Amino acid sequence: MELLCIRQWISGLLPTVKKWLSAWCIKPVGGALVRQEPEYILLALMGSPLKKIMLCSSEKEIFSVEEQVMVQHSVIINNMIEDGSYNHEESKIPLDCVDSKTLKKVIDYCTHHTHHHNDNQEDLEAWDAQFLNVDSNGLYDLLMAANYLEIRNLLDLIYGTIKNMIKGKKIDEIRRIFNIKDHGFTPEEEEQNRKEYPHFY
Amino acid sequence: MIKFLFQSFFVRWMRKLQIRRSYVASLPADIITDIFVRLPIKSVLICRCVCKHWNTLISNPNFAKLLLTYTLPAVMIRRKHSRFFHLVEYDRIEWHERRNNTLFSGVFEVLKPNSSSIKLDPKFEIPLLGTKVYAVLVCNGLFYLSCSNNGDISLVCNPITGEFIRLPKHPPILKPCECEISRGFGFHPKTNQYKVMRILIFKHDHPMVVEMLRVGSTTWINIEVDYPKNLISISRFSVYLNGALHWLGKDVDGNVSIWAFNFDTERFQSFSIPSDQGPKVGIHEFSGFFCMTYYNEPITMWIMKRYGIEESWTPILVNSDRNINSSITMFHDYIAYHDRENKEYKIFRTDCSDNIQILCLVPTLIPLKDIIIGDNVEVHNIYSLNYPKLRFY
Repeated sequence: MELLCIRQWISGLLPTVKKWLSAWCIKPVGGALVRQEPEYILLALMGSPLKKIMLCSSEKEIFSVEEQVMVQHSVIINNMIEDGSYNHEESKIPLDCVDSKTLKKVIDYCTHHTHHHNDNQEDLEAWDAQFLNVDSNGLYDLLMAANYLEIRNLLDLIYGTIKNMIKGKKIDEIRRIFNIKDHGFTPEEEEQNRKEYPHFY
Repeated sequence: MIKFLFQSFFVRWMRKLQIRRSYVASLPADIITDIFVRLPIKSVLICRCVCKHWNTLISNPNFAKLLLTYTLPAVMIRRKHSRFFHLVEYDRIEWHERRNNTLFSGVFEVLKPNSSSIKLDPKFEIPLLGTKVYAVLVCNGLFYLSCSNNGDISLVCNPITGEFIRLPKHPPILKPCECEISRGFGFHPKTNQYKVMRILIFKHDHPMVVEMLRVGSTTWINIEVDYPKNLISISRFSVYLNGALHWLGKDVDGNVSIWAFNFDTERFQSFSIPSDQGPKVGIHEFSGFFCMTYYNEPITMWIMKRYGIEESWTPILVNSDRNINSSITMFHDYIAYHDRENKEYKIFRTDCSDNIQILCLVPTLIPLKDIIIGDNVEVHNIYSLNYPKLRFY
């Protein structure tokens, strides 16, 4: 009975709900909500959303995120909110080093990990692997953003990816992967290196 | 189905991840350094040769110190008398574990002469062409090498960087045929100095001679020690732990005990062994504890839980399945300790013959001149262009 009433209410409030959903970076899939914890839906329907903060990218686009999500992951944002320099009513946090596309991805990451931290390890790792399915420029931007916002676990994840790109490879392969056209050594130095470590080439 | 999808994502991801522009040069130095410290030592050496920018970052002395805080102990192995050392890479070892039969094939493949498997790189050559390397002792990240029996040629080297220094000649032995020579190589934490020791025990009533050299100085010092007169022999090589060197000593009655020389007090101290289980014993360091192994059937290992206190000898079980994260297993003549969680491993040789020597060290890139304190310490490098002139015969 109660469920029926709630369903009717949802259809009436669909536009508002969609706005809240986009703020939490949740896309409805086929009309159903995908993998949401019941508390969040209930709170939304009750009309009291969790505290949110505004992040402003370098392209002046504003993203609204749950405060708890960002505070849990980003040390910089946590510090800003703790020392009271952020006013919930008015201000937004300017992030001039991060563009919109990257900021969206970072928010995506933080939100997923906050809401799904109880999932088993394999699922999380699979999600992370798919998350990092970006091109080189995207990876670079993510790395710089994670470094700026001091998001430890995202940083470690990206470090792990780059580490795997280097580990077990020889020098010529690494130069090719990282597109290092000019290695900067003098001809004597390069020859010295080849003589010392022939098996590295 | 889902797994198949994810696998295809992986394949696409691998293909896409060709870095199109050289952004690496524009990464801040602390990020690149953060990545380097997580690499195994061999990859760090490879990165040092990739480009000048990376070379500068890695050659920075502060980087070497930072790297040491992340580095895990590694194992190097060599054949008897050989001067080639092979670094064992953790990732290349296949830790197959079946009941009572552990195979770590990556470790020993390297030593087979015609092995078709990949040789473990790098091999670190030690610059003593024409001689047999008779004795090798390890302390922290350094090797002490002695060639020929009377030890006229000896040096201390860092196998990872290729740097070495020659040590001054020993004082001559008056009656070389009638004495046993034992050696030790250790570190004195209080003074930050590495020390080499040589102990001569003579057969007929001649007092024991103990010589010590501080690495970096030019003379050997004789040390006067009090020792029991019925001590007739000690093991040839020492074990270093806790600022002291340890040898197994046997007295006239055949009783075995452990003799520890403390660098602070410059005195010998003896500990009794846990139990009398036969003559085939060995001592070594294990996870920070002093350990004693009896090579019987079955092999038993005892560790001294509190250093210096004889009552704290505790047996540890070989072949125990009690812990899934770490295990101690046997393979032919070797015992392997594997800690999966911390990615640490140690391999001990159980057979007393030294066909294959196993050396556990903590690889370090810190230059020798920062480690060895002394005036006029001449550091050579086996990779330097002048190397061919330094051959000694």
